[in-house]
Amino acid sequence: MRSLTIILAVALVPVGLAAQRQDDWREKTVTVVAAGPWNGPRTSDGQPDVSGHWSNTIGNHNTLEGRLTDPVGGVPYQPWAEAKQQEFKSHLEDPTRPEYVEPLARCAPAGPTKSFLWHGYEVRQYPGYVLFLFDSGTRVIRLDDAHHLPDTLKLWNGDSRGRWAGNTLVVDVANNNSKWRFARTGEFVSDDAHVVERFTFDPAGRFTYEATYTDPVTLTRPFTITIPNRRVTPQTSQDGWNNITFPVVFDRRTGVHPPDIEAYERTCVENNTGHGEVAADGTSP
Amino acid sequence: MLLLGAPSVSAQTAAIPRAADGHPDFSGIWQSLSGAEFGLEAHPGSKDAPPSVGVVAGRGTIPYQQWALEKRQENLTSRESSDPQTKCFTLGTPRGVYYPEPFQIFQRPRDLTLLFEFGHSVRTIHTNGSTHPKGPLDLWLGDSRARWDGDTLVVDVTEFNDQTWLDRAGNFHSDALHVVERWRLVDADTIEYKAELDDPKVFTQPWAISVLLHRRREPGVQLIENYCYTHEYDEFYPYPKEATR
Amino acid sequence: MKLAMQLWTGAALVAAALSTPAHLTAHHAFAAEFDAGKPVELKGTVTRLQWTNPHSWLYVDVPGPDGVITPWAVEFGAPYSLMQKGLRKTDFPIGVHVTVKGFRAKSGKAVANASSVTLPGGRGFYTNADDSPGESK
Repeated sequence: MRSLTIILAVALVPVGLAAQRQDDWREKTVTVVAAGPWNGPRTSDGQPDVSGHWSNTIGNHNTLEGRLTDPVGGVPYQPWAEAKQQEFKSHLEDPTRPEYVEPLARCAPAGPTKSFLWHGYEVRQYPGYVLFLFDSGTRVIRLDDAHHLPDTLKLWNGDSRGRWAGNTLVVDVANNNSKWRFARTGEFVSDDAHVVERFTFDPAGRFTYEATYTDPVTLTRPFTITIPNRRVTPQTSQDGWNNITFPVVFDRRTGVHPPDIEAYERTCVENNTGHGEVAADGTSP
Repeated sequence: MLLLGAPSVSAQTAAIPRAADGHPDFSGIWQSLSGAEFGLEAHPGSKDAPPSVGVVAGRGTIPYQQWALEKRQENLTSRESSDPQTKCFTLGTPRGVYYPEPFQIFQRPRDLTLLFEFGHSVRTIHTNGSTHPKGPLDLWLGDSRARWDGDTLVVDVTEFNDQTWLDRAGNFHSDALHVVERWRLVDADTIEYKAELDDPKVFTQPWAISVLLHRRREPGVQLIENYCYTHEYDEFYPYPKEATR
Repeated sequence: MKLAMQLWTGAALVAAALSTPAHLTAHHAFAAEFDAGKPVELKGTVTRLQWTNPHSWLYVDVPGPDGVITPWAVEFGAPYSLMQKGLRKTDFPIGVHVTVKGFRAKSGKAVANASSVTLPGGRGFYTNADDSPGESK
């Protein structure tokens, strides 16, 4: 009897489910923005103004299937690296060793590319900087100094140096610490990897992220990943994943303001207590 | 710089950097030399802290309720394991401001973004006329909404959780903490930072601190990613190097 | 994934009717920690709520048929996700009675991942540790 009551009660709940129009974000086709001049608004220091909230339109962080555009198919690994990747992949749901626990599950930063395969994020621009705020970390793209940090510094999100070319932000990423994974299938690159990213923007509210990874330690040839992205606006459906924003509450004494959105604090806390309850004996790696 | 017949504006005020909207520009990399992190109250030198007259205004000690004074002592005694900073948890507000590691302020008309090198935490101070959202939100850094009072940025911070400490000496707060900050450029390379703290669950009355923040001016100085909370498991990822070299 | 879908349908009619199993892919791989073959329904009183990213934790004292109380730790959604669904921390005052449906930890301990929660008065919500849209191209 009681379970029937609950079923009826839940069936009548409009709130959480009605707001989730997942089709808004999981687009069936990939829109690619072409490189060219920028005709949209600019920041005070002349950058194309692309600040605001964005998210990918594929909703998939489990595999790289469909994301590899050159070559298509799997990552062009050397045999030893492929074996390592397969080992990680086969243990994702059975992480009995610490190295099998997906780093993102520990709240580690997602890495320069994986960050775009995750939740919605925010871009903020300043003279000399483009900031990407993810809930899995922050990337600071420096525009006014092309020199990377010393090679002995290895970072989760790497060291990023960029420049604008028309509608495209070209970013050179070094100092990779190699600890993050591209997806739950376990792809990784070494700490010698070098990345060139191209963020190609359309003022209508889309951009294409393209990252080419070069790594003679793990790969037989470079590979390229492509991720489509779209703006999050006050009209975008809140789905708790691509759109993690809320309406800004304005103080009426400060005048009339157009609708706006903001994300709350991006802090990931896993209490550093190993990782959940994965083993039969209750131990956590 | 000094013009004959210029209006009588103090040389210091005239010299501060300003944003295009006329407000003082706090952009840059800043760090406190105050030692407040080691203890907000006056304390003698010890094995793990230099001596200090403290940064608490007026009375000099924090006005704890009796139960909280005992709790602070417990914290102090167990700090090596119970200070959330040792786990690289987000430092909170105001501790992040005077922690002895730099943070960078990025400023635009609608907000200031504070990126703390320690843990790479991000705090947004909204200057867009917005107000606190409906709580409780249990935020580590609090929710910051600000207005300009002349050249002083007045920031109202609420919606805290109770997970952070105020320093390394066990000073703490509850989720009822309310902080009002006043940021002011004393000169182009110095910020005077004042904060009034109130917490009806922990303190008997409000109290205040004041520190100076200094611009980091070494050539090429920059924040370096410091996700210190990953140190515990760094070694497990991703592959044994001996397999590759 | 297919096996998980079948188990889900068998375990909770409501969930099958109103949601896809896509949410089983969570912030961390659900199947790494929880067992889709061990559905649980917990009725008890809230003793604590930890409102944190990437998942909140709800602590519930659940009396057994013998009256013995088992404290359960239930993994919940990220605050922004729960708040977008209309849930707030204030919906879980200490002592409030809740019904939680979810899946038990692989270890067998009194730990579960919540898929739905029902509050007094019948307000029900789907809650997941970081609801993911799942796989797509």
